[in-house]
Amino acid sequence: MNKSIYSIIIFVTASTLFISCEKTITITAPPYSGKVSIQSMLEPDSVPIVYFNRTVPYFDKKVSFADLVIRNASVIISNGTSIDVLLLDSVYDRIYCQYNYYYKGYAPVQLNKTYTLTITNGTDTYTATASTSNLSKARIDSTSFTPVFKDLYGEHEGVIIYFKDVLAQTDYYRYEMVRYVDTTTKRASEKIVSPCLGRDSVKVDEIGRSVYSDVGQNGLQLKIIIEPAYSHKPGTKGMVYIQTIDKNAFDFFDQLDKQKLAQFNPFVEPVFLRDGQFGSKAVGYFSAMVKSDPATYVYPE
Amino acid sequence: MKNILLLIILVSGLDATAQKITISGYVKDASSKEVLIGATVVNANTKTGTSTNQYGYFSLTVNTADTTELIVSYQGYVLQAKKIVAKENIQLDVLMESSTTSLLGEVVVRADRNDRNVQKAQMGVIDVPIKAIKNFPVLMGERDVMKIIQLLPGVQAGQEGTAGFYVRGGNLDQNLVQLDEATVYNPNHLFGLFSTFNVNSINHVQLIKGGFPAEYGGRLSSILNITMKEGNKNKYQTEGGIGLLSTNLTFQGPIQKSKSSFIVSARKSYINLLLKPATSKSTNYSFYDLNAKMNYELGRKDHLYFSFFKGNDNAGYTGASSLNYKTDFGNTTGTLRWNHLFGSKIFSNTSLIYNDYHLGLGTTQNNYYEVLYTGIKDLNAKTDFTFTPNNKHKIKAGLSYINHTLYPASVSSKVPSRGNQITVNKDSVAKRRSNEFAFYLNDEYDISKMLSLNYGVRVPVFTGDGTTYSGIEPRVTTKISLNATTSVKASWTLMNQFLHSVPNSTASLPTDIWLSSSNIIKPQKSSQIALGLFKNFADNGIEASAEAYYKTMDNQVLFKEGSQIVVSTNLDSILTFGKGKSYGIELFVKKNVGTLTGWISYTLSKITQQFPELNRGTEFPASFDRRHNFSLVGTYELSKRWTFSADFVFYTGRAFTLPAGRITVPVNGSLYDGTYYDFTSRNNARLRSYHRLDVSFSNKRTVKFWGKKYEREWVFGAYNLYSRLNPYFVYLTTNPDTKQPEAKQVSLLPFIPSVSFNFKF
Repeated sequence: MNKSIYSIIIFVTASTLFISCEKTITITAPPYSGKVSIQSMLEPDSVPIVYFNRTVPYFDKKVSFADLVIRNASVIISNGTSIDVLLLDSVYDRIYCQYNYYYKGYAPVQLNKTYTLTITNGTDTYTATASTSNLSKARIDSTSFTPVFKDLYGEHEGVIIYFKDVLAQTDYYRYEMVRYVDTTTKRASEKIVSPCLGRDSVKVDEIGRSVYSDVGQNGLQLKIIIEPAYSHKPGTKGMVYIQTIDKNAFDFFDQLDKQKLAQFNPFVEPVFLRDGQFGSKAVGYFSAMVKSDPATYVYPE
Repeated sequence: MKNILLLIILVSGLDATAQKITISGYVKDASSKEVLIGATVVNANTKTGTSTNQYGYFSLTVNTADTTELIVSYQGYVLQAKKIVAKENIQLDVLMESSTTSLLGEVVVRADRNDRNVQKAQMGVIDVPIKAIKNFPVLMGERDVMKIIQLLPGVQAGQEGTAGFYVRGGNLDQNLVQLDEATVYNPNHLFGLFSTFNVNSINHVQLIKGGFPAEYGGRLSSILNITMKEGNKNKYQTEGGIGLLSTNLTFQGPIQKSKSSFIVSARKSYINLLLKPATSKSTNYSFYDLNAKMNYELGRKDHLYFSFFKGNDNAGYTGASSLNYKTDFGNTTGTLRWNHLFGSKIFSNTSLIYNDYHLGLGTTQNNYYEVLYTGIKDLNAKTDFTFTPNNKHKIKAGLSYINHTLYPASVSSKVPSRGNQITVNKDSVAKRRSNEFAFYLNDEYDISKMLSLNYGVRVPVFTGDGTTYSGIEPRVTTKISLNATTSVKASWTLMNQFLHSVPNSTASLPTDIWLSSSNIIKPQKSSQIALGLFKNFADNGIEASAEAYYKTMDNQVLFKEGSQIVVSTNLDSILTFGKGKSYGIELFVKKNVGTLTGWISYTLSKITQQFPELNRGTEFPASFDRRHNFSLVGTYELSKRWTFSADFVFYTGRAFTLPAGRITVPVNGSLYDGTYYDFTSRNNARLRSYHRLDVSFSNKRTVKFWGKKYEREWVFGAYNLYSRLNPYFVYLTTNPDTKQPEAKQVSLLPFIPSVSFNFKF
């Protein structure tokens, strides 16, 4: 009996060294006065759209777009000769089953113009400029697929795009694929669960996670490999584009990319979103882009 | 150098002829002939004195006309008084009897009272007597040097489950830990619960956290000097212990009686065997360490020592997704030393030292993994001279050369859904070689009975990566005695550090990498000023002090934001540099006599950093900034056989970075979708406070076994008696049901009971 008790004591003592206890705790959140988030990408021949939301304290319960959108703001875009007053609009997102709110204009964006965005919300005013000049369309040369490639996010399959960079200026690029998904599709590693989608499929604009610059490769053919956001079967089709974006958008999305990596990977130092065009009062960007001509993409597997 | 020595000898000769002589020699334990380091030797006639050095040697100048009464004292030993009448220099060894084993079988005079803390022109120095360590509360049967160090004022324990300690706002890499002069990197076992130092093989421990004498350099914040025993020169002795998780054995004895001796001390864990039935193959822990030392007196003037240490840990843990790891790390050190006496006034030591450290770590957290290898090999040659021309001056000078070879490598990536994780092949890691030279000169000058000055300069030079750095490091400490039991001290030191361990602020395990200075990484520098009031009470039975310090640190190193290390990463390119500032007040009261002994320590401190590329360039708290640090340590002799010990620790939580706000980015259909953090400042949140109570009861007896007497001790203890779930780290996640963000806290060590059996014969 004594031997058994001794053995139990030893075992329990040794075992306690290897038990780590985990529990959910309440943290006193650091003080946060809140900011606004302004996100807008002008595309020639499309009407301007501006997402104008509030940021919330980290542990705040608000998560839906309806809670976050700032209504009754004055949103104006001007190009020096005309003014477009944007009004609050929405579109039903059939993946998240909620309305997505934004301010929408009427006059299509034109090439070779400089636009000024002015948002007034109560006593605060936010202003920035973006230009559709000096944005050259990329030309997609070819596409391909790889079942395995490694990037900072690990090992996964990839869509390969070869395209030509325009010589003699610094360009910034982003990938876009337009395709259809339904509830049999997985996004990242999880199946799309959408009570409002039913058996229908819905069009999605899949934007590549990373942004690219032509530094060191000016005028050359560039190759980028993008991890698809959605699963696919052999024969799944999509239209791919290369967006030529401006530096403000590049800087913003580059920070998001690094911060996302730091969120996933605990061995990466956290990334602070730096003040951008709007200073310390708002996060986000007001930018412009042009799209390449589309290329049809068919997943081989 | 020869000419300088000749000059010194001539000066000594002159001094002898001017009706003064020198009494020199060693202070030793009467039973084992172990030297006693830091013993006080005082001329009772003139009230002037000195203390023994790292080898137990002292040198004192007295008048030939007087009958000199020499008073020698050391904590835990009976005071010795010797009357000396001599006309010429004499050498004598003073043998001290332990106050627990006096010839009369009872204590005659307990020598636990000394006033070194008040009288010496030294501040920020704490001597930890081995006898105090032996009465300290045990953790699973192990008495530990590092556990005691962490309870001293100005010293903070590292994160539970990790190595190291922080001293006066300096990072973990700013502490130089030396075992018989060999540097020991990462000196811990078992999640930092034990140190690599086997108490049975240790003679003396000294922590210096400010007012650094010029003989020390290379680290900004502290020097922890650990000196091994030499081995009993009179008889063979065995002692050991069996605990719940490890066993240790020490064997020592004479090689040639009274002339040379050896000591071998080993420790091994058997946690694996105990856990095997109940855990997975990937959960294991084993460690061992081996200390060995040999010494030989070649004559009165020469003494040779050889010390060796090897320790290693191998551990693996597979648990919750928040904590998985595998690690193998260890140190090997070797020291060859030669002491030589030039007459009675000059003591020299020449050392050749080798150390080899490696850390291999693979850890997984949140489906990402990091693999790290860091290796350091040092070859060190140094020589030191101590010249005591008279009782007013003790002059030290020396030269040192270290060749460093570093092997840093690290990779981080997502856990692959198929295929293998990247591994680091340590044989193909690129080596970084560098050299450090240093020269120093220091004088301890007793200007008068009231005023003493300890001043010197150290000049380090570093070469590596095609770059050379050098510095001039002035060191000044002054003491003003207000009366026999009170003094005020002040110090100013400049330090340089050429090796850097770059910490990761978010990973929960030590993923620090060691790098040497280069054309990108400049040496760290510090400037520290300190002011203190020292007062003793009850005939030095109670020591008290209050010290304030202010320290600035330049060229501090951290990783840049958003940097993930891949195979091709040039580590230097992902570092960012800034400065740090630390200030605080340390209060310390220690009772040395009576049946109840112990101390209370409280530190109020603040540590900030500023990096142009982090936190938008504004100042932020260091991750190891803890405002309040309190410890209470006590030992109570219940009876002749029973002793009760306890320690209580409290400190406010360390800092970590918590996002203040949340930003939604509606890009639709993208991997960008989701929530982003709005960080307003770095290290803006605090873990909950840490507190813990440890207790132990020990029962000592001398018993007979097979006709032979041996001492045995049973120790019953408890770590974290009330099982406080102290925070280890906090991570953020999203509740899958409510989709709300939430914080989860991971704790490591709950209540842990222990029983151990120790013996000695």
